[in-house]
Amino acid sequence: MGYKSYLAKEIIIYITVLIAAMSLLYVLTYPIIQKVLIATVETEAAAYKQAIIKRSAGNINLTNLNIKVQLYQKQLMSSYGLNQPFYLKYLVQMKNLLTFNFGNAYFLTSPTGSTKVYAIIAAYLPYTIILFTTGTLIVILFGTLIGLLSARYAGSIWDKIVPTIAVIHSSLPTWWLGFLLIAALAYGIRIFPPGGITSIPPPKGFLAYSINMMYHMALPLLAFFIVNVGGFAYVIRSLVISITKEDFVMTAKARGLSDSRILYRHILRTASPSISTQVALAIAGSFAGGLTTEIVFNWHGVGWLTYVAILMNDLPVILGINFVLTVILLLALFINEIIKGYLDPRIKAGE
Amino acid sequence: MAAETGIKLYLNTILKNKSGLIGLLMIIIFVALSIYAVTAYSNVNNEWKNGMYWESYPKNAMPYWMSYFNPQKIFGTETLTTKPSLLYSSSNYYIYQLNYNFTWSKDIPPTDVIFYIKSSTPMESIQILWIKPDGTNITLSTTSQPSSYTDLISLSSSIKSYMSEQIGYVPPTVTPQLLSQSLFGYEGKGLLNGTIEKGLYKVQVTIVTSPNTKILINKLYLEGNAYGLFGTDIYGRPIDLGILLGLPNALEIGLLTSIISVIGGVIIGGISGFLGGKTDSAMNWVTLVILVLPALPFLVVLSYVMRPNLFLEALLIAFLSWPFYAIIARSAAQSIKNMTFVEADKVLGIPSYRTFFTHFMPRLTPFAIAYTALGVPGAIILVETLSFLGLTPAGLVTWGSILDSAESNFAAVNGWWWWILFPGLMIILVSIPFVMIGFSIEKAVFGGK
Amino acid sequence: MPLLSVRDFSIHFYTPKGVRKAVDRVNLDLSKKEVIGIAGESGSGKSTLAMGIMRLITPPGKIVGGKILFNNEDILSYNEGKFNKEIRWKKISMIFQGSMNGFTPVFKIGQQIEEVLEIHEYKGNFKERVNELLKMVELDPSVSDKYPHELSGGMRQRAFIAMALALNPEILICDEPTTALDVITQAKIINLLKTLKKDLGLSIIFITHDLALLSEISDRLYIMYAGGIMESGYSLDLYKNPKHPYTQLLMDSIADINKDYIKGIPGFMPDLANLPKGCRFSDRCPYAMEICKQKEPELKRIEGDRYVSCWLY
Repeated sequence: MGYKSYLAKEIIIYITVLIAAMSLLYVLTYPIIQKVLIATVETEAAAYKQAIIKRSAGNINLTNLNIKVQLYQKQLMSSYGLNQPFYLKYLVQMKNLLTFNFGNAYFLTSPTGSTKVYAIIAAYLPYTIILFTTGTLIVILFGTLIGLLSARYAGSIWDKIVPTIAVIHSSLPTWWLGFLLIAALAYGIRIFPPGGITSIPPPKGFLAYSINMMYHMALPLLAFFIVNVGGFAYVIRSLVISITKEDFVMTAKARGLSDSRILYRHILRTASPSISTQVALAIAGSFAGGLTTEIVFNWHGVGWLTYVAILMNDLPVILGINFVLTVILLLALFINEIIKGYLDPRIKAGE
Repeated sequence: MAAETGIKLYLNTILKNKSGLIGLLMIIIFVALSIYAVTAYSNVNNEWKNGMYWESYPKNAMPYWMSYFNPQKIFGTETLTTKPSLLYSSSNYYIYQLNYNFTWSKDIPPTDVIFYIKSSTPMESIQILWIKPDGTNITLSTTSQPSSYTDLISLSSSIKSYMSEQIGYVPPTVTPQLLSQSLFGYEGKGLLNGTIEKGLYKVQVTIVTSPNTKILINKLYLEGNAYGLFGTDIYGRPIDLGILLGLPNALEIGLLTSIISVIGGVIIGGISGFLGGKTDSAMNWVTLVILVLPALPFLVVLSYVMRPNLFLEALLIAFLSWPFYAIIARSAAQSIKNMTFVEADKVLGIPSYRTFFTHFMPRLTPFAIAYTALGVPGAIILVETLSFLGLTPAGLVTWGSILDSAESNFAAVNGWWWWILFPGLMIILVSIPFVMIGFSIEKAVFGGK
Repeated sequence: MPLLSVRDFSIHFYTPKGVRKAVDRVNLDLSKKEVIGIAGESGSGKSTLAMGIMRLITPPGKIVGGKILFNNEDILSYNEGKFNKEIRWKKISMIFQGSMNGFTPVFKIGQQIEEVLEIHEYKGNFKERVNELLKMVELDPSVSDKYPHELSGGMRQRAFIAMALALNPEILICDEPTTALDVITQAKIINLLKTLKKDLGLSIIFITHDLALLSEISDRLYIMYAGGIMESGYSLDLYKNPKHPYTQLLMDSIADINKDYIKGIPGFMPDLANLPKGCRFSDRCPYAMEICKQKEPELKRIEGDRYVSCWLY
């Protein structure tokens, strides 16, 4: 089949995947969220009742009161969607998600006061992207370099060090390393701030603000880098070693190409589709995985928001964030397919 | 059959390989420790959340071996006990006296002073005469109906009045430091200025009880600031104990999760690669759905909503993890499929499920074993991460929960580095042998890189 | 005056199981416009010999001794830099069995040939030269704009030959260039090589296990076994009148439609780390004598240009 129709098919598959994933999340969280909402409604109705009793200072008609409270409760229930059958709510929710209509949050509000979920997410998402994309890019840069060099000197001492470091570092939980770094470099020796995106109050002016933010990014980036660079380097190394065994590498040497030219031009280019996949997964994956890092460093991004939303049982926000993160990942995978086609002519030619 | 000799071969390869051997050894040690933890310390496990149990332990103590660096300023807890003497007995009440003597030569006072007196029936009152080396003394009395533990809470009013008469003002609350400083400092305006008296201290405790009461246990704790292998946390709980208690949980859930997700993934991936066609596409799709879900947020939501026990949590994590193994197993199955004996089987008319078991399973088994080992660290980290966020299965002590406690109690700010460092190091330590074994199996399977 | 003279050339492989003498004191001569064939079983060391001449031996292998005289200069004594600049691909070039996969998959054919020209500082128009080379190997110039996977195996082999000839080498080493191809393509490639030899005045070293093939193309033959040369001489002579027992057995084993049996050579090649004392063929030789097991025979000239390493002579 042609390349273009292959891409089109991929899009359709991705959309179905998205729906399935969201449905799964919805179904699994539904029962508890229902319970929480009902409890909230009952508490609010009771408070409402108390408020009326207080205001009327003793002169109450009981039946009137009960009717009023019932009405209020009914209104609350319908605003939370509690009086509708499950499948109806499910369908409405799915349709809304696909049209990027996330609705209003149950309890949370954005910094600017809006209760619209997309506004809430949009307020915090950029910070996650800034931190983790920067981190991933640094990891990719150094990881690729280390991986290439490690593959080139395969068998030597350097080559034994890289896998060992990769092993140890990937056994490190990022958040623990972050915790340790905070204790050591933010409180022990006061070089870096212990958390937050900027100092309080944040400095004015774009340049000062950026520098201040970068200063605050230093520790989380360090933790992220240490934990992830080894694994990435190892993957690159394995890739390069397996390519080096192929015939064309030997013939390249035979026809006079220098070792570095072979490595950085021929091998790297041949490995680039696989590397590209790793990059896509790394970038998109880092957003979701950064949840605990954001919490430890008090970095108010989308991961931190997820945690807060979960604690507050704010289902629309939870669904919205998961949706956005899934879409980002699928988008990254799709773009990766296009990039791979460009980098490796064999892919475009046939399936 | 090929499989049996295969497994023996792999075991041999692991044992011959240096890192595999070390890994195996470490795991045996860990398993032994876990068994020890579960059998010897099960009651401690239940008392972990009980504050009273840890009353007599020093709080926020550093590891004991730190005292070798500075014996004057870092020291362990001294516990004194003595024989009670019955001073007076009548039909209305008994009066006991306990006399403690000790010499204090350190530069700083104990971090806390605690009296533990257990009697067969409740005591009426306790009075303490505290005589410092220079002869000056303090009289402390407790509130009525004293409990077994007489500490700064029960003595605070006495301390406050002593302080007001010495330095002229009363602090709003009595902290352990103020208590110690009052008991060990020089009288006068400089009581709280940090210098303390070194020398012989005499403590006389007078107890009034109802008749026919016996004093069963008496102890005077001069709390140190160093305890145990890894120190204690803010409640006095020894970190080394916490680590020991967390070990079986970590191993259990790590192995459980890994085994379930690897077996599930290999079977699904293996069948998918073997059968190909529509089944393959369908399974690919399912794999993609699960892969695409943002793992950590999803897990956090589910854990919060379902409050799972250990087994359920393992299942949850396995549910999100099997796709990784399915992908690898699938490509392995596809390359096995291209081998000639599969075709040969078909030609001979052997039904496909038999081919699957005779040719695919033995070849996929070493994969499965290698990845089970390699998958354990990831599972352990995930569990501890969830625990760190407060989502521990009920009743369990895990390293993540210890670290969570550290974070909420501002361990970083207060410089209680042992609380942060050692539980985390354990996570790494426990992961290392599995990775080593996994790598050495991988070498055996793939013939080295 | 031979163009290339290999003297006492040895390549050893240092493995945990011992030192494998893959090439053991080999002597070889190649004259201008001559095609010599090197024949032998798998593992006889012929490919290693070729790689050794091109200095492409990687650890655990090592060139341990000998001389390679090219136009009377010992190119083995050159350092890597000089050899790479002056000899490799410029004076002596090579095509491999795996040449079909010899092109990097992500670059176009033309790009890769131009790269070779660029690295070696070719003076002249690159594009013109690429087209010229492709024509030489009977490929359409449009091939230069294609990726390797867009060509058939035979076409890729030809394109690789074109790349090998890019700098007008004097010597072309062909290591099993046709083994992976079908018979018809094989014939085409052989014919191409013959044409090139005539048109360009190439001297060729042709390495293969296929004796029948060598009969078509080689002027002189070297028979290699377990790292050493057993016999050498003019091809026609050797085919008609093989002297060394091993050569005789090899010639016998060529499948011939007129014969009604296929004969093989009993036994296996010795472990190159544990060569038998004396003649290396002694444990499989039907004429083995006592002296064969004791002393290694020298390569002796017995008549005309025929050299044999055997105690029978």
